[in-house]
Amino acid sequence: MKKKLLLQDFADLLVQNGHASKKEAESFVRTFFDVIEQGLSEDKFVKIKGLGTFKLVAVSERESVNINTGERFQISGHTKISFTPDNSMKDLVNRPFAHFEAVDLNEETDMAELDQVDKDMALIMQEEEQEEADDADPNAESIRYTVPSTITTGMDEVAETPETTEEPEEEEEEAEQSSTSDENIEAVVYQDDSAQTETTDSMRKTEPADTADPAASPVEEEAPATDSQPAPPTTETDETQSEETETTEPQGSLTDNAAADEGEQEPAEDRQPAGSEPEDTAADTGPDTPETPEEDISVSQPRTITPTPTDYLATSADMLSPLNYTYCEQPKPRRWSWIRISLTVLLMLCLLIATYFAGYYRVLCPCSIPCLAPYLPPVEQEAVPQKDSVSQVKPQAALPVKDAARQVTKRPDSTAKPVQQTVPIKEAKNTENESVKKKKTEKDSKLKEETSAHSGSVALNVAQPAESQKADSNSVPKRPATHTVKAGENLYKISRRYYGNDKHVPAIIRLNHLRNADNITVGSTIKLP
Amino acid sequence: MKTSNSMNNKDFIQTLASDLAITPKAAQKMTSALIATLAENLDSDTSLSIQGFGSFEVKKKMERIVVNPATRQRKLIPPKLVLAFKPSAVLKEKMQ
Repeated sequence: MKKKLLLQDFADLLVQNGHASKKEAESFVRTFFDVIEQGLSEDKFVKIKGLGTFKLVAVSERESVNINTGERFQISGHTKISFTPDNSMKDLVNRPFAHFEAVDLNEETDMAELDQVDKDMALIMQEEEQEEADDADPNAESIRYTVPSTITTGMDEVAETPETTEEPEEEEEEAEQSSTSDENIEAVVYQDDSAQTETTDSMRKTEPADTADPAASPVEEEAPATDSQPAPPTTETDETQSEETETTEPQGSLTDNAAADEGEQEPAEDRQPAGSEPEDTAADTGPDTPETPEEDISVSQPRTITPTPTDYLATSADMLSPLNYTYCEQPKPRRWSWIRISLTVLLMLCLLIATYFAGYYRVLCPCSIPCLAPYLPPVEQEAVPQKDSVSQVKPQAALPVKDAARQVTKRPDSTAKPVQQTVPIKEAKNTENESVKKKKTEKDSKLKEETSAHSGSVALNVAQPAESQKADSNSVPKRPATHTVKAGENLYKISRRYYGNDKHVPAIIRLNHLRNADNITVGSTIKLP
Repeated sequence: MKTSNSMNNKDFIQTLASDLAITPKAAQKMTSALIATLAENLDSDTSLSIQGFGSFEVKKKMERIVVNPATRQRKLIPPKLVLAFKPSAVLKEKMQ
């Protein structure tokens, strides 16, 4: 019930705060309101700074209906006393709720409401994090975090609501998980490795998971499902495990695509550890089986439950404290967003490196150096710079070739290792290796063309891409030093004709000092790099 | 003394000071002290009622969803506390 303060109580409060004596205070408060009343009756408007505005508003006469009898009757005109609190007063009164802000709503109303709770919980969680953060690595940290939380309350949740919450939302969840599936697997792989292998380089660890073999994830997920049947975890975990495998199967195909994409962009050395990785994890998941399913649940479970308020109510009724529930639920999306950020940063870095190398090999090397020397008409003046350029080419070209050779020598090791693996995995890997090899041969053949054309002295010890290389070099026709532009031709067509691709257009432009590459005149001669 | 048809803060302090026979400055100080005390002590389960004048109380307005008719953008307005004044019957009668 509301506590009622009377004038005397209020005067006492004033005295307590030391503003006036008791007598003074009482008379002042009384006079204060008397003056307001007086002002109202005289002016119909009293404005007090810091408190608000009292106003008399005339209400005109109107008709109304008696709701009981249906009779019409007149409400006579009268004046209404209105009070509008001052802005400062409003803020003072609203102080307990001041931290709330208006939120734009999308389709899901309940998400926004939960987010509000989330904000409050974030503060508590930050304290928790500081206690737990003895390791700087965000991946390891998140895992350490998720595991205990699922053991304490997450499992209770699973016990209560696995059937009702998971199954109707399976499709949604899959869609949602598909975005996070890569991270999901990455984290698991990472943890297994950190437990087993002692190598400290974190970059090497996360990258293999990123570009991991498509085979890696299915093998990993299937292993716990079969192995942990006799293991300690209760029946709930088994149920959720079977569900888990359902959801993770599409993940396998997804990572497949991701790996394929990566394969196109990444230089060969990044893939190197990927070959040896799945074998490790497949072997290691045996002892770790009770942990891996739990981790997966911890990821999928909060995602499914949070957006549904009805489930929230249903479960919170069962739970001892609903606060505890939210306490465990909320942080997880945050943790994953961290991982997502770090992953995207890593991916972008890889992309950057890949583009750098691509640009270096494809654009700079074949164009800049040969465009100066080899295919120009053999004028004697240019003979000297030609030699120089060749000598410049050598060290540059030799280095990558050596690198490639080293990788090739390494490769047999990695492919030889995974003997225990099943046939499909091998096949997948072989195809990958082939694709990598092909790329390498392309690169190598280019380099060889340059070097052997000029001096022929650079001895390449890359044995394996020999045949394809020959085929490549045969397919490129002998180009003349210049080309006379015909009607209907443009630089792209010329480039495609002589080089088989568009990539030499910039080089042509540079060589001929063309101002407007789109507008070349018919009959003009163009030097070819 | 009064220039307009409404009693603003200055007029109010003037009147208050003359009624109490104190300086306007002291009246101003006392007024701000009173308002501070009022804001301090009023919360969602306390109300101040002044005999013959009315009662001040803090009311909680629940959160609600508003829709911008132009953009159809829905917005969640958070809950808030507002100071409400309810005039007493005596005051109402006087103001008729």
